[in-house]
Amino acid sequence: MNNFFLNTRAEFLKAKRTSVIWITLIAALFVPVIDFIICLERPDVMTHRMQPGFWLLYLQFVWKNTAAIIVPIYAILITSLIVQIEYRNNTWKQVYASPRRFGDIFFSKLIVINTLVLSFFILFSLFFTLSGLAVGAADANYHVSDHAIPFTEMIDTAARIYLGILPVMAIQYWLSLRFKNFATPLGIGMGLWVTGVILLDWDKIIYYPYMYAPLMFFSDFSKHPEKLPQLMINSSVCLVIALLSGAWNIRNLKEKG
Amino acid sequence: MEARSNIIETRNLNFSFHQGASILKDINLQVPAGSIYGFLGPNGAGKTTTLRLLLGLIKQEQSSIQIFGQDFWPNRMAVLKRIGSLIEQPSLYGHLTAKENLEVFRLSFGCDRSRISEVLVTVGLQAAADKRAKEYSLGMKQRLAIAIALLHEPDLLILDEPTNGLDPNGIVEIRDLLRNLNRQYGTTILISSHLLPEVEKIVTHLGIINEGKLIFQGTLPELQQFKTARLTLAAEVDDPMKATSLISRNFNVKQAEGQLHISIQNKEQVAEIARIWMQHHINIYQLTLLKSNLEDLFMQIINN
Repeated sequence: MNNFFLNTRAEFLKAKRTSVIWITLIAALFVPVIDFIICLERPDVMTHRMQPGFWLLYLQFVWKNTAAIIVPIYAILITSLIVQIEYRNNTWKQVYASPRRFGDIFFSKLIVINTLVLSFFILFSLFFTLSGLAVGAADANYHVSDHAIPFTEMIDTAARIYLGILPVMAIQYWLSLRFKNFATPLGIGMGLWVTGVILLDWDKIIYYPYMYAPLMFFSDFSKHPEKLPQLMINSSVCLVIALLSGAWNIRNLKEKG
Repeated sequence: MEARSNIIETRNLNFSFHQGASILKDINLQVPAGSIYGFLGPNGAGKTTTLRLLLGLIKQEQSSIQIFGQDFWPNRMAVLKRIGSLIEQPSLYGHLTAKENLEVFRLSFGCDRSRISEVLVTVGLQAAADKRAKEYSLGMKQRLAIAIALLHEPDLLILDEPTNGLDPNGIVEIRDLLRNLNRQYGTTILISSHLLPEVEKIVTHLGIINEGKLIFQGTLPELQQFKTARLTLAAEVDDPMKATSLISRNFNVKQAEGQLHISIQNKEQVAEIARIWMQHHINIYQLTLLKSNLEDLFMQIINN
């Protein structure tokens, strides 16, 4: 177990000075900044739209594009980028020739990807809060300070969407390990996501992992309370299947590195 | 260090990526403990495939590979802990400094942090330790890759063409470094190359592979004997019977296609045979040293 921690530290070190940190930061900042600008530029529309209560409506407003577009694209991109560090530097062979178990190699890198995805959600929640406070400071007509920041709803929404994106991360990780070319897993991932957007009204969309994150946000769980546990179970099952299949497949590859 | 005489032993090692297209055929590699073993062969002969099998980069769990006296696959972790390797081009994270590259692998090998500065001194890169690897010259990259291989003080170094692309000075530096490692620490080194001149100054043992077959294995003097034992002189004379009887006590002679084929050890023996026949009034119409494919291979490997 100690070796696993040390190897995971090594995996974090490999991500140093790469674009993944900046991409995480920009992806988390993008929508809160855009929505802050919209609120400042169109107070005539937005002050009405953000009432009553501001924060919950602003949370919906900021998460809408993020859950549908930013989160899936970010997860697909970041997974490919992390795995590409090895392909680009021609280092897989050195990694596999080190005294590391195959499971250790597979899961330590996955922890790095998962930490980045989790960081995105934490940073996004932080930027959402700062963005909302900035709107309130810039325009008193929004009455931001009249209402408490809804931390419970913030965490609840972020946690649901995070669970929804985990299967995508696991599938993309498997694809990124299988294909040396950076564009292949990226292209497959984007294709599957676009297909999901097209199929969003399909009654079986609940079995389509690339749409779990958007569904976690857009589904009206107050009208269909049974949908939330179903989505959570589907996400968790898909995550476990994708991870175990990926680990088994990579372990049994004839040639490594 | 094991009491065993061989650090690496393979028994009838066969490998193919696709059925029917054999890459390696019955390779019986024997790398003695404490040796510098040159693994030679032309490009595409199967050197890298053999080394990748030895490091487990190609999965063939039923293969008979013993390293440090242990079967490789059941003891993969224990064996790899004692091996340092460099396969093909250096494996370095270009965006990280030399120190950070070493730190990545130090964590995996679980060795002391002081080893980083020690190996940097060993390969002469201490002045460039904080420079990113992508800014290094090819020679520096090779040295850093060797530093990574040395981090955990391995008992065995497996190096695949480590002097590839280096200038003559770089080749001498790497050669001196390997010789010192072998002498000072008794590290066994398996080094592949497609040219004998690149490694002949340091190797104690040699293996020559061609088209997936190990065609020679032994010391340098044994290689010389092996090579010359395969020289054949083709002679065309007016009286083959008499000519044969004159030299048959000292040479193995066969008749083939109207010629005499005589196995000789060296070129001086051509003059000796010609002298004997001339003294006995045999008319010589033609004397030719026959070149075998094997000889072509040796010429390619040995004479650069």
